[in-house]
Amino acid sequence: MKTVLRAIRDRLAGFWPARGTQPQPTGPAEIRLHLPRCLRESLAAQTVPRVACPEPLALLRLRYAGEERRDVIVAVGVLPFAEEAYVEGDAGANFDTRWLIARANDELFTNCGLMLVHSHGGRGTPDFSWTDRRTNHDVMAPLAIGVATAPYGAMVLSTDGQYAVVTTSAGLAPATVIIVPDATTRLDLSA
Amino acid sequence: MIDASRMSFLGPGLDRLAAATISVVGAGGGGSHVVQQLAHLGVGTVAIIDADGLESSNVNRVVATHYRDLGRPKAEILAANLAGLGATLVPVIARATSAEGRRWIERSDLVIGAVDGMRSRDAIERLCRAAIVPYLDIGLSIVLDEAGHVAGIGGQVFTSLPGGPCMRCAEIITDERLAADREEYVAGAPEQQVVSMNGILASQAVTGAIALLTDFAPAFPMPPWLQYDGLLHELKTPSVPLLGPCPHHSLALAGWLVPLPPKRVKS
Repeated sequence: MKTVLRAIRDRLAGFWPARGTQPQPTGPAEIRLHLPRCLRESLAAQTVPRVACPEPLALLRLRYAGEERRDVIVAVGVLPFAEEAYVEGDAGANFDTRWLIARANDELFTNCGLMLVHSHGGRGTPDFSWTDRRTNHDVMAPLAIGVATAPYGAMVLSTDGQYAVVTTSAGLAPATVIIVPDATTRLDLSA
Repeated sequence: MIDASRMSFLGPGLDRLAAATISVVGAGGGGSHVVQQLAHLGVGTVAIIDADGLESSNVNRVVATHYRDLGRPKAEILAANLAGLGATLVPVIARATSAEGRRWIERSDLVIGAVDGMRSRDAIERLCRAAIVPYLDIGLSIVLDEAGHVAGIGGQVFTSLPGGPCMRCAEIITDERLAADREEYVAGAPEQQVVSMNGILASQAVTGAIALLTDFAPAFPMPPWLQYDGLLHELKTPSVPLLGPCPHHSLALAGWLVPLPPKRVKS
């Protein structure tokens, strides 16, 4: 029944605002996340609700743009969330944190951090639920402990918006997500 | 706030322009046109990155400058003389590869380069690819024969986007050209330039920037490369197509990439 309701909700997603429990932070965020449009589309495709998984997850591969500063982060790829990484539980998506930690360790060999991504559907700027915030704090933020070379974080999507937090020395902080036009979406390479 | 009633076709893209940060590298013959147009468009912030001062030989093509400005930094002159049009103009009196220059490039929504020489082009494109920032490059070359007559007028507007072909793919940048660039720089060879042709290339680059930032015509993707022939009065797409993906600047390798040694495998 719950799954059916979720499916109906997502079909009607365009007609009401995205789910959110907290007001958005005001003022410009100091941290920029440059996300190519092709990767944004890939994230959207991978987080479409399914009968077996009402709130699918995806991982975004991240790097700092340069060595000297930590205020510009670039998204360089999308990793699918393996089926075997999902576990039974009460939340929309329950996953095995050991699988995530193993992926994070693998990615460190190319200076990459990870961002956990899921979708709430709806329109406008979405926000994390209470459960999401707990996951961000308890699972994603600790991945950055002892790692100075790669960023970590979490992102929630709506059909036309996104909201992200990334790890900083002071904990998780919001990042302004810049959707960057890329070759696959904006260039005519057939001429 | 600008009166944008005659640009209303840009729709919500106008807000994106007003919120955007664009870095213009090079405040010379091409860059000054670009800055002027971005200021009129009401782009939020325009960083003008140029370390050089204005010389008398510049004034015939660097728009919005006067002979009374000689000796002052070009970036500072443009920011002062084009203030009040709708954009916040920030003079960055530094090289693009300096810490200050890199900071602006990495934090931009788009970069337009109008620089002399291949080494500068190469450096800016590398910075933009690393930070996943769209880069539009313009360049003009007027070639004279031994008698001093015009033998060719060529130029380009190149759109370097994440995942797409780069200027090395188009052979605008080659190792030979980089080496020749160094020799010309040492010899101090003077370059021929003219304000009107710079303006053609600059206008096309700004039009490309508007298309990328506002998405006003998403059904019409842009050509990555436009070639200019001043003798034939043509601005056209090259007959040889550029096909992705780019082998020089892979999207997967963007950012600060210092790989760790591979995992030790137990035997």
